Amino acid sequence: MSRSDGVSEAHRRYLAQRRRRQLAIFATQVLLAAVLLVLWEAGARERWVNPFIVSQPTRIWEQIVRMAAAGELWVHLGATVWRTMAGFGLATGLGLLVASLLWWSPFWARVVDPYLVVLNSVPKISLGPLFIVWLGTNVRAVLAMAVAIAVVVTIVMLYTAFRETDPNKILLLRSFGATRWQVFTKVVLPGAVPTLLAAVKVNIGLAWVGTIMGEFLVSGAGLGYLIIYGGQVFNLTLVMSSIVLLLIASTIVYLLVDWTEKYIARQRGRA
Amino acid sequence: MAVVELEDVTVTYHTPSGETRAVEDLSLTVESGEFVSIVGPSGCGKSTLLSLIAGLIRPDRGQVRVGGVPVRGPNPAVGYMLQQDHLFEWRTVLDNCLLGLEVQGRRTRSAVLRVRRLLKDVGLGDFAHRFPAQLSGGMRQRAALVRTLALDPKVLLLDEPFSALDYQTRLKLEDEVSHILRTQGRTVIMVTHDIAEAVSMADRVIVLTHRPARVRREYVIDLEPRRSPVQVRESPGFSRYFRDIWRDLDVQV
Ligand SMILES: Nc1ncnc2c1ncn2[C@@H]1O[C@H](COP(=O)(O)OP(=O)(O)O)[C@@H](O)[C@H]1O
Ligand SMILES: [Mg+2]
Repeated sequence: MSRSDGVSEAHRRYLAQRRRRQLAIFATQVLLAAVLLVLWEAGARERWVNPFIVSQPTRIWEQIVRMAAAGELWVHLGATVWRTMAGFGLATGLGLLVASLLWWSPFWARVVDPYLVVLNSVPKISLGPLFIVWLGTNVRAVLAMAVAIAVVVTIVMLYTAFRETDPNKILLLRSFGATRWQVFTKVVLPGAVPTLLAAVKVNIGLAWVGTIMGEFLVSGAGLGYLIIYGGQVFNLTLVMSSIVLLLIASTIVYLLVDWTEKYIARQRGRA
Repeated sequence: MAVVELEDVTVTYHTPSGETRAVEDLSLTVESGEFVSIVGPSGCGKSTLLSLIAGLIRPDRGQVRVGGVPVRGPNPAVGYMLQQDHLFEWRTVLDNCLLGLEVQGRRTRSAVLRVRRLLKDVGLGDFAHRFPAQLSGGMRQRAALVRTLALDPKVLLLDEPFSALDYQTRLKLEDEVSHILRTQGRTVIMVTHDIAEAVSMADRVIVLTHRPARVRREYVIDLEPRRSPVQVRESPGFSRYFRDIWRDLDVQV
């Protein structure tokens, strides 16, 4: 339908119905959260469930406020977010580098292939003690954990995308006299941008996992440390509070990544 | 003057499952400003011939010369246009057309202006900043032509350039492309499996044998006065060429 001839009555109805439906979904989502919170709070107060084990929303809130006032909140939250971002950056950068080198040398790609399969299938948490011994009980071990868990997937994802570059597009560039480096920068890499963005999303998630796992093992700060510590001293409110903070932080980061991805897609004329 | 010369050229492909001789002792010469069509059964080695001339592959035996110089690799004097447009989806039409110049480090302001003029000539003036996804098949192939012409090649290699298009668009593009290339006096070698397209566009049609490719027969197309390909299809001599070439190809099937 062209824009000039106005919107028909039927189309207006269709749009209105669509809006109502979206509103209903959103309202139900909010309501669901509210009901769950109220049930949880009431259940704990009326002793339907044991608040010592499941904690309760108001206590979690008080705990978070207390930590914020004492300045602890930012220390722990900051440590975890920083480590996650660093682990994510390292894993993505390293993965991109290795995938590029593998594309550059098909011989080495073939050589390395079985090793990647093995590394990809080993549960990375089992490497934790090695990292502690090699790197010490410090932030380096946490970062190593975050990188270990994300880097192999990145390599495999990106290398696969590189290899799936349309051979005819490469042929076209070669007919222009392009060097191997030009083939890489003009078609292989830009063609893999959608995969790179997907890898970024996966990596952010894995970097959280790696960081929290690392903090379970070695750290004296961070949300992972608080969760483990809270569990050990049976302070379930502390555990729950840390999880809530983690939820908020990871959601914000995810939204940022999602927004960046959409922005790039628009820039490339795909949206 | 001969611009493209192939002399007793043989090409063999090697794969794990065996070897394929695609071209054997083939010789042909294309004169400057000539428009030559190559037809042959599918898989007979037509694309291989173009890859040889473009310097993308080397012959096992024989020699390939462009402008009198033996071909050692990709050559800026040769432009190659493939069956599919292979436009990069993430580049605008203009940036796609500048790709070759960019690769060769020749993306100057005057080059950009020239490419914009070429885009206007093929009716894509208003689409320079659109993305390929927003273009129709015919427009995309026009953009691919501009991308090839941007390098100002002496010799143009077209590999079934219209076969992905619907019939109407194909006829229209044949007319346009033939007009542009003839006005610019380019030397053109066009591979096609469409006999009518070959006869209506070319000065000379070379019919190849089954694999390995050799020259089976040559036809000098003499349908003066030279008009547009669509009009040529109506001239009385046309169907005779068509029938003869068709028979050449049919015999082999
Ligand atoms: N890169 C390659 N590796 C192995 N075989 C090839 C390769 N390219 C083409 N061939 C084979 O060589 C023969 C000729 O191919 P081609 O020149 O593409 O034929 P046409 O363009 O006439 O259809 C075909 O049998 C094809 O399978
Ligand atoms: Mg072919």
